Amino acid sequence: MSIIEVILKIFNVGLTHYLILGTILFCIGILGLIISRNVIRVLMSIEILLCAVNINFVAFANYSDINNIQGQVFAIFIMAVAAAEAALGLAILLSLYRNKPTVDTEEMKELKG
Amino acid sequence: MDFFVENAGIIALLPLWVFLIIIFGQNLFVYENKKFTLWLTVASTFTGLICSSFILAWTFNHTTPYVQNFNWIEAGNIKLSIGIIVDRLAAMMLMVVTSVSLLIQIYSHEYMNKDEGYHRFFVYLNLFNFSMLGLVLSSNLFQTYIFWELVGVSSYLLIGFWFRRPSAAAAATKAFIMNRIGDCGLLIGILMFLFFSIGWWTSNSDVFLSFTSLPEAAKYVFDSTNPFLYTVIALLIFLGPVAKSAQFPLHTWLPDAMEGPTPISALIHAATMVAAGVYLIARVYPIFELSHDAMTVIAWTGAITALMAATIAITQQDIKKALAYSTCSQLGFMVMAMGAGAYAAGLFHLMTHAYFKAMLFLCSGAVIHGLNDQQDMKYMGGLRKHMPAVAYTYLIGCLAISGIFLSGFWSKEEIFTGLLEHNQIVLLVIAMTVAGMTAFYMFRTYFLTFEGEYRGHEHPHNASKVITLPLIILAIPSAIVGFVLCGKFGLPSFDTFIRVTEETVSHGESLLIPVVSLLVSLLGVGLAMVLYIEKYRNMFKINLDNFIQKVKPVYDFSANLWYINKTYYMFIDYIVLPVSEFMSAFDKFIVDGIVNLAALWVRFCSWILRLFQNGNVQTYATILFGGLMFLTFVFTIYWLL
Repeated sequence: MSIIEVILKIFNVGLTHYLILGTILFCIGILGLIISRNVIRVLMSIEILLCAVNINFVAFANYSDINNIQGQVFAIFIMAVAAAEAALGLAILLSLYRNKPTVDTEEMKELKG
Repeated sequence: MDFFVENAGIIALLPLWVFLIIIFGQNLFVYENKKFTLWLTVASTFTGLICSSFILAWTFNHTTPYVQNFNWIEAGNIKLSIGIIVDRLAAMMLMVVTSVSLLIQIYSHEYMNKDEGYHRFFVYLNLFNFSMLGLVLSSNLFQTYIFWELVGVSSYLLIGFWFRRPSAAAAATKAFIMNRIGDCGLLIGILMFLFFSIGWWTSNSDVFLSFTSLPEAAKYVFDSTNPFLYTVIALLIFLGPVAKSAQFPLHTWLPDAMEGPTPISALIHAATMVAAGVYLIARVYPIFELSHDAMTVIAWTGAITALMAATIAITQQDIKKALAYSTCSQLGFMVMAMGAGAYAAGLFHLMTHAYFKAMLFLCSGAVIHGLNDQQDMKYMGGLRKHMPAVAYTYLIGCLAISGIFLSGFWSKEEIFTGLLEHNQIVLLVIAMTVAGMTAFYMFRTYFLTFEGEYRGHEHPHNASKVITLPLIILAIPSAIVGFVLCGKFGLPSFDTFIRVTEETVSHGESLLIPVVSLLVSLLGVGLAMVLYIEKYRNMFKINLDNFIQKVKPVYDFSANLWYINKTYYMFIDYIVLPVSEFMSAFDKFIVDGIVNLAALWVRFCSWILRLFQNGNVQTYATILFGGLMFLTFVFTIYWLL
């Protein structure tokens, strides 16, 4: 019995706990996305959102069918996409910064209707 | 000769080309030289005159008209064409228009020479020529309507030729609006006629509304609608001629149109364009002929116009106004003859009238020119010594219009005979009275202008040769054209030449009508002599001012133009303007108000929505997730319940 299993047994951890963790992470991500004034932090919040999703995937995959690893595969896949997205987002931010030397989201309102 | 008939359209197109050349030559070389404009214009009209003479000669041997049509618009059932018709009526009108307008162009060269708008004048003149000849040659009613409007436009432009003068601008506007009323009626009439006869046209191969098959179409409409509706259609079409030929309710624009240059008064507002109304009546005669009521209305409109204009002409002080009212009166004569059924007589009078009235106007123009733009007859008199050629041609014109042996005598006699034949005794009496009055007021103008002592201040100078030459040439047809075509003494008869229907009216060769008409005219002349020549006035011990004082109510009634203008202005001031102001207010506050209210609501909504569109991505994200949370909440509650 590994130490993790011991902990799981002691705290009686189930699917619900993972989902609650995912929800908490998701809410933190949303909050960060909405209230951050720094663009970098907005990007980081998006990463947190993706993490929350990953946790959900892995948790469901683990508890529904232990032999089916589609969820885990998807989690890896999302990580790869997230890396690409982060690279792209940073590149866009960089070129945006060249045009408008600020990282404040309040300053970026050019698409006002 | 067939060549000229087949290419009759050239007659109308030549002035159009000249019109375009002069207009587009504005910045090139044309304005450098007046001769260029003049020669182009005269050459085009002269070519037209030659072609017209050949066409006239052709029509002597051919009774069936030559028609040529091109497709213009095809929309579903309706096919409109544009084309030419050459028959005796068209040939006669072509001859009249080209000959009169040629002489008037020569005359205008001298008359307008000092005017800065010389080229503009000839531009308008060519436009008018084009539209008038196009009107005459039109093969169907639609085309007629187009050219009808075009002559209206050129008339408007020429009345307002001196547009810096407020009275001229007002007169032009008035003429345009008056004609608009008539044209509106004409258009509605044509459309209604087409609406009721569309079945007939589609089942026949002929061009829509073509004049050649108008009799059958009119018969079809007459059979398929009720008589009242048919009369309404006929009278709506008649409204066009009422305005264009200055008939009773819509005549007031014609005297005002004398604000234009005198050659224009002669050409457009005496000889040709105003006669276009009578020409149109002749063209659509098959439509009128079927409705007895319409014919009665036409005849009485003519009679009222003739009588009214004659009474007004008696008291006019302005020589051109007097001539304008006499034109109005003579047009009334023609319309009356048409309405009474004396078709050929009306057209005969149109032709003779075109020549002598054009000449009278040109004479008045020469007088006005010679007196440095003095039009009031109070300041004329004794001009026979100063400008004998003008005086004698004017005398010939007066004799012709009064119906004393010269051309007017023969055409008026035809009208009287026609009225008698159709048993219109009341109309005949009116016509006779008007003939007497015509003689009176024409000789009044003659005596006031050319006889007695000179009462003006300017030194009168004689007209130049360029002005007198057209007068002398016009004097010839004015004098003889009636006699040459009278149909008596073995001479050719205009009546049998122009008559469309084959009905043979037995001509009672009585001497009564000519003798009575001659006596009436001579009576009029005698009265004018007694009143307006000093020698005779002294002989009969008449004081003109006392005489006028004695008949003051009648005199005022006539001098105030029967109060028709005043009534119209009052009608406009007290009825038309308040109503239109009310309508305008209704439009502004109610109709626009509803529209603005809708716009205001949209603006309010968009203002709310705009609050969400602030360009900040984070706000969008907030709204997005807020909305998601709200929906989740709602659905959860829903699921729980």
